[in-house]
Parts: sequence; C-alpha cells; structure tokens
Amino acid sequence: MPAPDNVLGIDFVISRGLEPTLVNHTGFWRFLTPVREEKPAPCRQDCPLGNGIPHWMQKLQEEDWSGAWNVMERYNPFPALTGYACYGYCQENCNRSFYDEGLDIRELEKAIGLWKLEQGKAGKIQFRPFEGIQPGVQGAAKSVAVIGSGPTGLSAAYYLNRLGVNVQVFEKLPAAGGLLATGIPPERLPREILQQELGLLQQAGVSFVTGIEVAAGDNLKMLTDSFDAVLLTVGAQKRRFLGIPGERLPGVYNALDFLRNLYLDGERGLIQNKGRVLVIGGGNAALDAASALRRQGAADVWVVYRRGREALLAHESEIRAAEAAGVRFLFHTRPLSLYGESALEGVRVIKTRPSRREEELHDLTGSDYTLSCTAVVLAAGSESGLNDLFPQNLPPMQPGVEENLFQILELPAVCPERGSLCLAAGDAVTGPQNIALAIAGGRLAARHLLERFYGKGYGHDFFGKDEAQILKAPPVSYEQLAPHYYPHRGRSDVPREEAARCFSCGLCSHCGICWFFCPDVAVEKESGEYEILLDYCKGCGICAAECPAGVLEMKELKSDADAVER
Amino acid sequence: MKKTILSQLELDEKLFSGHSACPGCAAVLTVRHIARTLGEDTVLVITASCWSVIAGAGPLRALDISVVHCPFPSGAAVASGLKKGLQRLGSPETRVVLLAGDGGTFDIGLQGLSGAAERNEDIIFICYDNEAYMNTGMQRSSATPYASYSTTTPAPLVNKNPKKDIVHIMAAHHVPYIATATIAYPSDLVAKIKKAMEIRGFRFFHIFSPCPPGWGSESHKSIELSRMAVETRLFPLMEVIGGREVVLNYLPEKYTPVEDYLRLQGRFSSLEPGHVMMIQENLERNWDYLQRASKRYRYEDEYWS
Repeated sequence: MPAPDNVLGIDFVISRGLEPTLVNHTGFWRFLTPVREEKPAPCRQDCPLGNGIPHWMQKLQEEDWSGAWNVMERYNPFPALTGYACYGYCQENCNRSFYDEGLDIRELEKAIGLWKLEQGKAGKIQFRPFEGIQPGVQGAAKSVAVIGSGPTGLSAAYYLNRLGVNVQVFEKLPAAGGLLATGIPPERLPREILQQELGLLQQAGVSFVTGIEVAAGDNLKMLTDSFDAVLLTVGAQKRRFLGIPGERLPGVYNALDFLRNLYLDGERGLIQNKGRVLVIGGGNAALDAASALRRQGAADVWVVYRRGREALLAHESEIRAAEAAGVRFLFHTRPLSLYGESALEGVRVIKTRPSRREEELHDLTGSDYTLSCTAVVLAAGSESGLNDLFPQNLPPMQPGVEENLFQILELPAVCPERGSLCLAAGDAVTGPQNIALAIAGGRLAARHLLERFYGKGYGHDFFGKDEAQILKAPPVSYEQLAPHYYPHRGRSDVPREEAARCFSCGLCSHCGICWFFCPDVAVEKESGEYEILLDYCKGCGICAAECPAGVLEMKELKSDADAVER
Repeated sequence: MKKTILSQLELDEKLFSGHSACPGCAAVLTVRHIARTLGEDTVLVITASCWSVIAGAGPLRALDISVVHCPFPSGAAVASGLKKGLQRLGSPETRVVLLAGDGGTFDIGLQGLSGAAERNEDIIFICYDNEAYMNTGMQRSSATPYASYSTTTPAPLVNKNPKKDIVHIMAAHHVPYIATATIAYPSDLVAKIKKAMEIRGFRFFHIFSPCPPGWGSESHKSIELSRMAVETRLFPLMEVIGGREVVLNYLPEKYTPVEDYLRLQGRFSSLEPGHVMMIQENLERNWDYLQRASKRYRYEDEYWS
C-alpha cells in the first residue's frame, strides 16, 4: 500500500522537553569514584627485565610489527635471544591460564626478534641514534669501554650506542657472545641468531675487539685513561672448587670449561670416554653439561647431588631436558674425595640426610662408599670475575643502584686524575643468574652511565619515566579481570591471533567496555582515550566491574581533584 | 562483539547524562543502546514505570527522541493509535516503540498488549523486566520470581507463585517476531533490535533488567547478574518467529548453578535449600522443553575475534 499523503495538511509534532537533563549534576550522588591506573601484569612482574609485555601485545594484535619492536626495544634489545634462550618466567603466572591456556609469550617475543633481525639486515630499522636524543648537545660525545661481551655487555653496548655514546666491546675469547656462545647449547640458541644480533650491533656502530684479555693493573688503567667510562661485565665464570682431595687429577673437568670447549672448538675428548662420567653439582651448568654429554653420545652419565630433586637449583626445564636425554641422578650423595694414581679412578662418596635447600646438610655416618668412574665434571658453582681485576680494593658487594634484582656496582676509579667512571654489572655483581636478568643489568648500567654523563632524566624519553614505579604495585590478579568478553580458545600459531588472546592485564586496551556499559553516559571518548565525566558519574561501579583489563578501580576519594589519572 | 560495541560509537547518543535513574540501573543502559540503534526517526511511548521518571520531569528531557507518556494500561493502545496517525499524516516510516516495565506488560498492560498483538499493529513493544513494581516501592508483580521477597510478599511469606511466561503468551498470538535479550550480551541485543527494525508487524522484546535497589544487589553487579541469568539458563536468549519457530541464540558452555545467582541478591536472602532445588529443577525442565522446541544455533558473541 503506498504511503497516503498528509490528508489533513497539518504537521504532526510531538513536543520535547526544553532542557536536557545535563543540568542535573548527578556526580554528587557518588561515594566511590572510578580511578584508572596502570598496574603491572603478572608476566611483567615475573620478568627480570620488567618487559612491558601487554604494551607490545597490543601492537601485535594490530600486526604493527615496527610498533611492537619500538616498545620491545625499550625493555629488551635482543628479543630473538631471549625468545630462544630465556626460561620464560613471564609465562609462569599468566592470568589466561586460569581461563583456558596461558599465552605463549616467548614464542611471540621470538617472532618480534626474528622480524627485527630480518628488517635490520635489510637496513629498514634505524638503530642509532634515538630520535629524541641529540648527542653532543648536553656535552661532548662520550665513549665507553665494555669489558666482556656476554648478554650484559651486549645490552649495555646496545643502549649506550642507541643513545649516542661511542662504545667499544672487549672480549678475551676469539668469539664474542660470552655465555651465549660458550654456555647455552646450540639446540636452545641457534648460533646464527647470535651472529646476526652481533652483526646488527656492529652495523649500528658498536666496535668489537676480540682476543684481548683485560687484566688488573696497567691494562685496566690504560682503558680508563682512554675512555670516559669502563663497564665491567665480566660475568661470573671464575671456577669454584669443592675443596676436597684430588680435584686437580687428570680426568677431572670443569663444567663451564667443558661446555665452552665443546661449543666453541668442538672439543669432544670427554664425550668419547667410554666409561662412567659423574657430574657433581645441581645447578644449570651441571645439568647442561650432563645433557650435552648424553646428547653428544656419552654412554653412562650420572648427576651427583647432595640434596633431593626438589632442591635442585637448576631450572625445571633443564631438569626435564636432562631426564629426557637419559641422564641418571644420584641424589642425597656428596663426594668426599677423588682418587687415582696418575689419573682419576673413582670417587669416594657419602650419603646425606634428606634436607631442604635452606637447611644444614648432615652426613649419614658410615654410609660412605666408592663409585668408580673414568671422568668427573665439576659444577660446584662459579663466582664473579671482579675479584681478579680488583684483588685489593674491591668494595663490599653493596649495589650502587638497586632496582628489583638488577644491580650495578660502582667501583673505585682506577684512574682518578681523568675522573673516568668504573662500573660493574650483570653476573659479575649478582652471581650466576639468567639471560633476562643479565640483559636487565646491562640496561640499568647504561641508564646509570647516561645519567652520570648527561644529567638526571637523560634518556627518559626512550626508557619511559615511571616504569619502575608501576612495577612496585602488586600484580593484577585473575579476580580483578572480567574475561567473559574473550572467546575460549587455545594457543594459536598465528602471532596476531595469539596476541589477541592477551587479557592486557593492567593496561587499558581501548576496548570501549567502560563507555558501552555506563548507564549514566559519563564515559567519553576523547582523542583516543576514554575519560570519565565526574560531573555525572553516579559511582555505580559497573565500569570497574566489567573492565576486562582490571585497569579501573573504585576508590573512595576526598575530592574530584584526586581522581585525576595517575 | 568489539565491532558491535565500537560501531555503536558512530551512532548519536540519544540519552543525556543527569537523568534520575538509580546508580547501576540496567534498564537505563538497555534503553540507551536501544535508542541509539533505533535512531532519530522514532517515537517512544512510555507507560507508567521507572522510565516515566527517568525520562525527565518537564521541562527536562533525558532522551533526545520524541517521547509520549501514557497511563499504565493504555500503552499498546496509544502506540497503535500513534502509528495509525503517523501513517495517515504521511510519515509511515516513523517507528513507534513502546517501552513498558513488567507491570505495564505482565499485569496492567496485558489486555492492551494482547489486543495490539492480535491486530498485528506495526509497533515494537519493549518490556524491560525488573521483576516487580520497582518505581512505586517494590510491590510484587506477576513477573516476580518464585521465592522472591517484595514489599507485598514479605519474608517469610515470600512470593509463592512462579513467574508468568510472557514469551509463550506472546507466541500464542502468532506475532511476527519475539525476542529475549539482556545488556550483558550487547551484540545479541543490538542485532535483535536491528532485525526487528527490518520486520513489519508486532514485535515484542522481553529484556531482563536487574534493579540494584529492588533486588538488594550491589550496583556494580547489574551486568554480572544479567550474564548469570543467561548462564544459569534462568533467562534463555531466544527468538520466536511467527509464533512457531523457536530459536535458542545462546547455549552456555558451562551451566552456572542457579544458587550462585540467587545468593548475590538480597531479595532471595530468606531462601531455603528446598526453594533453590525447586528453582533449579524448574529452569532445567524449561530448558529441556526449549531445547526440544528449538532449532539450535549458537550466536557468535566474540569480542576479540
């Protein structure tokens, strides 16, 4: 039926109220106020680097790889290395694991790292200098010598170079990379990835000097003489001994030496050993060495540890890898002496009473016996290489600057007349740790040096101002989130899809839920950010209850002025 | 679902801040998004209900669309007449939407509703169901659920009658489109409103709408309660097309026990274990019936996809 004409010839008007209800400022009803605050996600809290994982996840969701790299760079300059070799502490407490399956953060980090390597090789990413920084403006261009090219040295070199400092890295071994090259098995960290990272660093302007050992005395003095600062990232590779008889017998090896010779020179003498090999110790080095022995073909490999499995110092993944490789374990057993005429013949061991790691160890008297073996690999721990460089005047291990676990140590100037700085960071300060903490140490040392060179606040544009402040708060718990808006879905191989599973704990993801669910129309989108109009907010708390990221929280405030976003 | 939410951003806001609804009111939130979706060319008829107050005492207005207030029983009649008048005056495309509470639908408005449905008037009837006469002081209506407190059914003599099944009453009128919805499933709600806008004839919406002061629930739990009502299957999201074809829109992956939902509300505070069991059994029987009656399909309600 066609629409009839207006037969009556009059306009149909329904009157409306004159004035919108905007004149009622219902905000005075409120006794709780929604406050938006960035909080640390559990992944971020657990990462030794404090890596802003939700920040770059948001970029990955939009497949903005260069954006993701720009965020990642602020926390971790070598995502490919950590993607391969880090133990993945970030994944341990992922809130998504309470919902369906935790995120595979490391795999995504690796993807960003590989993207960076590819783009870097093609010359598509700029590594130096950072846009906001003008070298030489705040003073003359500075130069830093980095001693040791492990993860700490490399990360310090990266950041210093990125922010306009000339960096030269010294390495005593013929190849750069430190423990990355000599300690981590190639199955976990492919060597070509390391070579590509080193290549990019060189391309960016860091120069490497390999095969030169920096020793105490004049050698070090010479360096401090010609550089504005010396950064000692010598690691913790000084071998420790058990202090029992027979440790210098032929047939007794050190785990770190063994791994270095194997990975660097392909030295396989020990592996061809047909007899039984005992690995003494329970740390990562011990289990790495044992697994490597088995994987390379040694027949009978035992790990001898004085406590039980649960007290092993090694990371769980290392223990599993060793078990999978066929390493056998002898727990609650302690070596008393190594014996042999001209070469090692066996080990005298004693059983110990089961105890936890923090408890004192007690032998079971009379339980000693002899284990025959053809080789022993000692992994009794290692200590900082700083003691060799500063035999007399090494200050006690008080951190100069402390930020969570990362520590750096300011050392007495070797050359006071030039006023050059001498700093130590990484494993050399903290003792043997992990790759992520080592990179964090380098980052902190770089920040510290930059502030010493150019004044406080220098580099804040790059590193971000209150990162440390955010990490001090407790992590966002699963109860604070509202995950209903995510479909239940397991891990995905597609980076975009996997990143889309991130709950973005503690970080506003601009999803618009608060705006959508506000009954009072008191949330407004302005220039990309959602703002709460406190004139009208009645404080019902729906926005905070439904915020999927747990960013909004209802707080009792004395006045509206307190609600200004922190 | 993210698309649904962000697409709503592009539409004009039809509700002003400063209206007089209680904090955490789900009805006002529902109408906010329905009004946005309906757009400018709409006349909203409001029968006596909370919304009569929320829409603003003159000269104020909370809604930026035309509103006609009318007495309790006459909502459907007024809307029918308005539609006829608009057609006569040359604006047949103008949508007439009736907004009524559960009192104006289940009890007082039922005869008008039945008449309009029977005549298949070209209007959209939206019932926001907060399960009692909340505006006048929480008196029991025939939408009040079994074992619930109200000021006319005080504890321990709580409401002894089950809730009226309005969807099946309307289905018996063989109207073109009936849907249930709640704001906790926004893409479902918006999609159903859009679908109804394409259909000619009488369209009926039953919208579940928690009321924090009336239910004795916390104001920030409104959305959660709506979600739980669906997850427990107490309030199934469904459509009835032509009074015959039943479509269940959402099959919960995991059923929440109804007790979790009841414990969040003060109006069920004098509940005995026997009551809970009866409510649970009843809703399961209802769900079984609906599943048998329905053509199943799962609504894609995915936010980050």
